Amino acid sequence: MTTGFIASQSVTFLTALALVTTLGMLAFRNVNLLLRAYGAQSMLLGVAAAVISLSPGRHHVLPVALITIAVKGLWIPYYLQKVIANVRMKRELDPAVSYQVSVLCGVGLVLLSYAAVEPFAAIDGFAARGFGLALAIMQLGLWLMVGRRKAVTQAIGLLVVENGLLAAAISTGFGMPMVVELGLAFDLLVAVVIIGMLIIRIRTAFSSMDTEHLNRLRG
Amino acid sequence: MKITSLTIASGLGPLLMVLAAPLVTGFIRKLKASLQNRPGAPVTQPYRDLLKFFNKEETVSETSSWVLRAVPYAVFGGTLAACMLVPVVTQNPAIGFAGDLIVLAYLLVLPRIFMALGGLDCGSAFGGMGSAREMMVSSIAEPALILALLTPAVAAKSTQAGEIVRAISANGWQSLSPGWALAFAALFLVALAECARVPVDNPATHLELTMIHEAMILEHSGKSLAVLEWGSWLKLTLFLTLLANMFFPYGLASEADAGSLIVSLALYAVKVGFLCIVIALVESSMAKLRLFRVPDFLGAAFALALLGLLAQGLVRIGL
Repeated sequence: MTTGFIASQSVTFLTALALVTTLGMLAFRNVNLLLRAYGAQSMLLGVAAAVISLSPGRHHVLPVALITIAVKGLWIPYYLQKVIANVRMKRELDPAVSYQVSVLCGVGLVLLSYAAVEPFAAIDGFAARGFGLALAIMQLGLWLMVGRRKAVTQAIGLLVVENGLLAAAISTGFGMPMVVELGLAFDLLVAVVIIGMLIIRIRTAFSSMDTEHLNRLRG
Repeated sequence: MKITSLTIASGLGPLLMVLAAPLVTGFIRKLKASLQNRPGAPVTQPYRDLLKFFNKEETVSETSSWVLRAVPYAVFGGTLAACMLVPVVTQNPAIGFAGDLIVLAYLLVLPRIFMALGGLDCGSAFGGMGSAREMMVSSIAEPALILALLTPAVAAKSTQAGEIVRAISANGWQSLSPGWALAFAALFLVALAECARVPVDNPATHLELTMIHEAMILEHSGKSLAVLEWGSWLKLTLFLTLLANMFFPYGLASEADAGSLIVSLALYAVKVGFLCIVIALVESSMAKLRLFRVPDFLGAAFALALLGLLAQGLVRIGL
């Protein structure tokens, strides 16, 4: 491990805070709050990437950190907030899994992820911790997509999974190559715009954002 | 046990908390006022309130029993006893030999029971409602409180507050593990519920059907009210001290020389002041939850504390 002790400790800690925001997202009903938590999570991961970039030989991570903060921390929450203001949705009243059960299952998923990386802790503690946390964030993102019915919250779940991938990349591989990262950020932008338009389309077609309605479209 | 200057300095901690409790409340009120673009009362207003209450005559309902008169003293005494188990400016609690963090959690039960009994004692409709709600909130908050306090205890392998503080200080920044962050978040949510702050209760109102804490103290007046209010403020200060010193014990004095005591005192003031700012921001930006949503709120605190404890205690990858 070439990064200094303080750097690795603070990266692990920031990733852990990102995990805390993800657990919070499972408990939030208010979609605006959900988006703000997503923004905070992306900011934390962006700062973690910036800390990585400070250590010698890792300066290529800095643009990744800046892109993460600008796109995922600021622009995506802002854009989705405009979308939900457009469809006048404030909170999700009828999730597929109730909020309490959702949080408790989330705790189980986190412990499962920790247990999965435990064998690797002896080889590289920093990578194991980071990957455990990243795996937990990805699983919670998937769980968010499964447990909610509304298109916006499912979209946020997808974005959380992507953030988990970023967390895995910064703690195990010290960031992906610049090209991959740029491509990811651009893909994400396009995806969010399409999801935003899809949400508005679903809303105008069914006067609801419940993705269950799409089941009727089967041929 | 030898009486040293360190013992004396530790013993003065609870006294400091008692004296600073109205200031903490006044500071939060002032911050909230300035966030709402009001000038607000000066930060020393709670002291003036106490003085005013102490000079007023006390009225007690004829239908009430001794319980009502005992309530303020039980509340203040129980909370003060709990304060003695927390390190304030030195690494030792005032009477650390007498109990650990689990004793602290159970000492806080005494004020709660008496407060609820006092609410029921006069037979007023408001009081009974407040008591029922308080019992509901605290029955969910207590397990979360104990789990959150056990997380640093597991990390330090001791439930003695002094030992925990020394272990965390010795480990330095290595102690800032994810489990620690989860436990801190959980304890913060519990503190909001236990001290009747905004998402659970509204501390700024006397006349609202949804109130919890204020409903139980409606029947008190004069000196009783003063002692009772002071006890509640002390409880808030106690929780802020727990948050500040159990989770950020850096800089607490291990020796009783003037220099380290002053540094420690200044750091303590900064930590508590920062937590006050966070509480004021939360209270200004959130609406009070519906009563039946409070279990969800505390359930989240419980889940966070559970995860923190399990991650710290069971899974040995240092998370």
